[in-house]
Amino acid sequence: MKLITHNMLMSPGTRNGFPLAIEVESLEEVEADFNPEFIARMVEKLDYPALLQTVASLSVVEGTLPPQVPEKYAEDEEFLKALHHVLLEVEIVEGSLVCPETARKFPIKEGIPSML
Amino acid sequence: MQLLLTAHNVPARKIASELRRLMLSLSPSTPCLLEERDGCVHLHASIHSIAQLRQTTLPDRVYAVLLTVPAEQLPNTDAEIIDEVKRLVCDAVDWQSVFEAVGELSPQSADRRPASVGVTAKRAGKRFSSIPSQALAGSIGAALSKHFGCRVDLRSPELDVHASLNDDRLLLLHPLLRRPSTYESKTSVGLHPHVAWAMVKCAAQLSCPSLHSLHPLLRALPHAALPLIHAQIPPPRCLMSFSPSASIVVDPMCGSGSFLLELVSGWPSVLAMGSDASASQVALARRNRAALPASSASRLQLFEADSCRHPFRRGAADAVVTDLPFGKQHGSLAENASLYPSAVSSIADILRPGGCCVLLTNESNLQLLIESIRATHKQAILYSSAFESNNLKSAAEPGSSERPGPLRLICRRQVPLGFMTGWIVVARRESGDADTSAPQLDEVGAEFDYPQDSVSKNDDEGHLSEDGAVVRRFLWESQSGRASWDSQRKASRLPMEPACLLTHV
Repeated sequence: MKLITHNMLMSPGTRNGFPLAIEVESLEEVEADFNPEFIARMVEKLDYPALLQTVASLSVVEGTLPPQVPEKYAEDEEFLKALHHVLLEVEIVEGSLVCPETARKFPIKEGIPSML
Repeated sequence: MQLLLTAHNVPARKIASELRRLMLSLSPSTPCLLEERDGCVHLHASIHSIAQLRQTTLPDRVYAVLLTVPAEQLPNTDAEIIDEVKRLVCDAVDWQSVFEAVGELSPQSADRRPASVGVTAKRAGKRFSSIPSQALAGSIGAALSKHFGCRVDLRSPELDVHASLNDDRLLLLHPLLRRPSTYESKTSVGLHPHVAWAMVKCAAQLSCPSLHSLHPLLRALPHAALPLIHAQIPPPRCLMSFSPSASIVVDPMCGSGSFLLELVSGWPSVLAMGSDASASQVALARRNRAALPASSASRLQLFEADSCRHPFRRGAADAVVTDLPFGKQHGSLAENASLYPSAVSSIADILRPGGCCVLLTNESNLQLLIESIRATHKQAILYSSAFESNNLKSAAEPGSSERPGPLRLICRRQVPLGFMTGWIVVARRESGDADTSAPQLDEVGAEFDYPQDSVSKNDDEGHLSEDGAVVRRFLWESQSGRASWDSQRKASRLPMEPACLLTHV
């Protein structure tokens, strides 16, 4: 599971089940092609504070993201590259997602979270 | 030089007409020499014009025809045939032109000779049944390896000869151009790729500014003229991919991932999120994802989830594209009666206001789907009246702004699926406010089956009747409708690349 997926998921059937906490058992850093146009479009869709909170909770991921989205983010390559790394190059392979409202756990196996 | 062009699932006449157009534009005075035979197209072209074939959209492969010998000109005994074929491949083939053509396509191969040779052979029919395919391939390979003084390499040969021998003829080919990443050959999906593409196209089209909202001249035209205008002016290329608002598309019942594959392959800035309640289906989608190039695969994300209690963040999806179970292969009609309403209401939850869903079902479930979409509207009315009568209490709650968005039917279009009748149903999520960015019927369908009046638009708000309209074509379709979906889909693929490189000096 990549962090871009995590940013879009909430605990099903809850009101405040977002963002889900991540318990990591195994995490990989993979390489992905940098597509600045795509990353810039994702900026509008992200819940940025939730992303920062998640990145802070994963001590293994370097915190290179600024506390706020820069005003001219579409032209800010440094920011887009940092965001690209966090969103697409960090893969949670094994672990669980934990609902902040009910503490229910959802397992992640072979990179696929099971939200059933 | 004689060339042979092939394509997956495209009739030869379509490839031929595309080639005629291209050749005419290249040299209007020279007649285009081409012939359709056995589902392929044979073309006579100069070596210098071969590189121009990369502009074509339909062919998947271009071969140089090395040799064609009619069966009646071949000798009688097996040993004589093999000897004759060995002699022909060395003496009768114009190898100089083949190497020139390869050099023309990839300059680093110019003036080079092959370092290795590989031959695949296919023998069919009755007359030559005593010659095994492998024996044929082996003798041609041995002859060529001796002729060029190069080694035999069956895995990645520089000189890649394809031989076929049947009751009609002996044919030898050498590949010149091939389409990169034709992932269709490596994936297994349930739905025809062009049907999946057409639905994805609808979703992308709906989420981008329509032609007449961009162009004031078009806006000034009478409503009835719009379908005609759109049919004659193909949308500019930039518009097809220009979709500032469709960034995230969700398929909550993704199965093997037909829609997701089309999304990430055809729309380079879209994030495709797929989920399914069945772990085996998610695993299948994952295997299909592995066939994609890395740049597309990283934008396709998968998770397991119940489509009726979907875990997607509310209002975060720009569009939803999905194939609802028909109750045959998956589920049953009885299960559908409870599944459809919950799944549709869940789709309404995850869509952003103004976002669209493009859904596929069959004839037996169409009424159920329409009722499920209508029901979201009723739920919203109930919710909103409860909200108003109780607004002090509700307004204090943190989540009270998340009113479920009612889905409103825009239109539906019939689509034959094998022996079944399928229906593509398009609906949009409404927002409470007057939403000018939400798509309207004029932006989706053309050639209404019913007269305009019965669509019964309410002019003040631009709302449609509850059932939506039945359309014969979507706005982006050409006059020939579904028959051209496949070629329209293929027009957005990557150009062909050289199929072989020569490295040996």
